[in-house]
Amino acid sequence: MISLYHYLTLSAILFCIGIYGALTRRNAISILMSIEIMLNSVNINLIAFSRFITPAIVTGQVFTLFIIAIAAVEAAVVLGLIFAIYRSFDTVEIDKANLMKW
Amino acid sequence: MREILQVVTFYVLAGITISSALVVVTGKNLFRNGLSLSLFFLSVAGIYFLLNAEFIGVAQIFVYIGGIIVLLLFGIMLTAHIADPTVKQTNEQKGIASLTGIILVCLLVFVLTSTFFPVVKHIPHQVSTSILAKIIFTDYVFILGLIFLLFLVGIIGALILTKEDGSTGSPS
Repeated sequence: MISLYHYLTLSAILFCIGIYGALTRRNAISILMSIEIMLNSVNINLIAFSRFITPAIVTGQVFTLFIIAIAAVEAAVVLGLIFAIYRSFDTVEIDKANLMKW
Repeated sequence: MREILQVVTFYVLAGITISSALVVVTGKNLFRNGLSLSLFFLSVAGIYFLLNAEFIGVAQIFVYIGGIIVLLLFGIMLTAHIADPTVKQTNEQKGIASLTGIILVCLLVFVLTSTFFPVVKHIPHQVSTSILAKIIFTDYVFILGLIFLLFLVGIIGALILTKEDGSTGSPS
């Protein structure tokens, strides 16, 4: 029988996979993909809580819908940012896009 | 019978989700990572269907796979040298990041499984779409307006960031 704790564990594992990817990858688009994994894990968490604790009031699903919308806008803006970085530095690896003196 | 089907479906979907997420964060070929991310989104939509959130599952497929994956794949193809196998994909913080991830997942799982949540015994049989529509357009309509504003600002921002005239920061 699948309980709330199964979904919470799945969400925690996915969130930590996303954190590992966001901290480790060099390519900026890979970092964006890891951030999308983190956002999706939070969505699973919200919908699981909404279904198991208050199934008649779907507030968790409303929150999830807004997070999906925000993630879409964020992906578009971040890709615009990545294109601007690519035009300046001719690479999208974030440790090479460095203008600091030291 | 229904219990067995639910358990099997959950474990299959969870396995596909976790393995495709691992491919995304540890793979060397960027295009393969993008396609594995689309498989991740599809299996997360499957988990939403399992949780009686059909509208969110379909919205996930439309927005993420139909929009964000296409954007990401265009970004990968236009900016990266994906055919170069000598480019290292991970930086030098791999050890600390994996240690952080493992400690965080142990902490989260320990805290979450030792908390008591008042789980409802009887899940009512309902269609989520009509309830969602009723709530969004009456109780949460202000947040909906803010999301519209966010979209407008995002579109304007993305247009300004990708302008090609060489003076992207100055007002015209």
